Amino acid sequence: MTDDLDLRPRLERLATELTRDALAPPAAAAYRRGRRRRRRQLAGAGLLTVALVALMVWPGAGLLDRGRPTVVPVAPAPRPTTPAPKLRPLRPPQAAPGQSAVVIQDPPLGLPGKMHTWLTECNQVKFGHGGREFQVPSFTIKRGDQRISWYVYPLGPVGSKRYKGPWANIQTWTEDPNNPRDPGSFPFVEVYGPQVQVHLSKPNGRKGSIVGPYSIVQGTTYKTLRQPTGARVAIAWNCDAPPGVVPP
Amino acid sequence: MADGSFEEFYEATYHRLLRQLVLVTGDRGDAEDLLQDAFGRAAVRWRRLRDYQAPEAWVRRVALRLATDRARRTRRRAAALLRLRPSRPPSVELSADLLDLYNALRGLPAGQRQAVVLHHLVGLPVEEVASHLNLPVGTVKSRLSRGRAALARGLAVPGPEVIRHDR
Repeated sequence: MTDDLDLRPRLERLATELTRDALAPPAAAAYRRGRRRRRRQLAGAGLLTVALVALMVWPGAGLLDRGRPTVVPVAPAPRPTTPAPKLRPLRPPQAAPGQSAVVIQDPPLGLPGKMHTWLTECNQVKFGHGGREFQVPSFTIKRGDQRISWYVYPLGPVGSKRYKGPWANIQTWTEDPNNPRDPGSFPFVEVYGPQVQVHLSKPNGRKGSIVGPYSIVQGTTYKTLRQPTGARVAIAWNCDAPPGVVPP
Repeated sequence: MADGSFEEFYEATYHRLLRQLVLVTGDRGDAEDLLQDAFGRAAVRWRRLRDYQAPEAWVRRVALRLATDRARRTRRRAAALLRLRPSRPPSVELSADLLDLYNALRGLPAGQRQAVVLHHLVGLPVEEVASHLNLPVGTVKSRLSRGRAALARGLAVPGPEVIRHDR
């Protein structure tokens, strides 16, 4: 850029005049000012952290985000008719990233005692009017004509009339090309009730396990065909597969 | 500045930076305050800064950013003040030609004033001014051109002739 206004010497003179007799404050003053500012920043960050932590541990925090509850709701106890059976100990299996594993004591409906398979996409699904639930669905396992898949709802549905807490089901059905039937119309294994224990490794429900006694329920009608006994089911899942881990 | 102490750096650059900032802010008190703030930030991170090629440029850049932030914050108040007192007198007595320059400089928008000072007083090339102000080169050229035209008007110097091509 040309300087036909002869700006530089004029600006120099003006700057000299405006800063005439200016004394530099001691460098220590700048140090102190910088340290004060940093202390203020740290104090502000500390306050913010405390506020955030307080907000997270506040009992009403769950109400702010009902989609991701921090406290897993407990299913209500049914009216006591018969004493609850004594449950047999069962440890949940290990689930590899992107997979789910099941262990069943006294497996009913022709199911194997142990199973594992890949998970399909874990996501939030809607039902009814305003209802929603986070579901962890497995791929379908094929054993001859038999098909098996299971679903876990670790956070419990919102807006469901039937389920008020975490639950899971294991569906099994047969494929008959000559007589196709809706898989949902077959009896299925249901894990639900006050004796069900859910452990979430991640509060958003993407990794954890559910262990509890099971009942057999008729699909479509939801009539209980067999009450829970002392036998239990344990299902573990891990939705968080690292990049590159994909179902076969 | 490798191995130099902050005190040495401060002593060596304080007045030079103050001269540049005072033209940007138009007020020595404001310039001193901004400069102290910028030096304070430099002091607490001096271990890292002293390895920079030009720590002085870092302080200048921070001070200019602070000046811009402050101007933005106080824009409304300043606008009200300017309505009441259009021309803020300098804190020192100036000769007539310097007073004209001072007033012309004060009349420039802050962005143009920064570009003019960095280019014409500090002597930075346009590309470096653009990098300093985090602006495209074209914007800086435009600000310089407009700033110089406004200064020319303020200093009663004929500006560059504009040739029109009528179609």
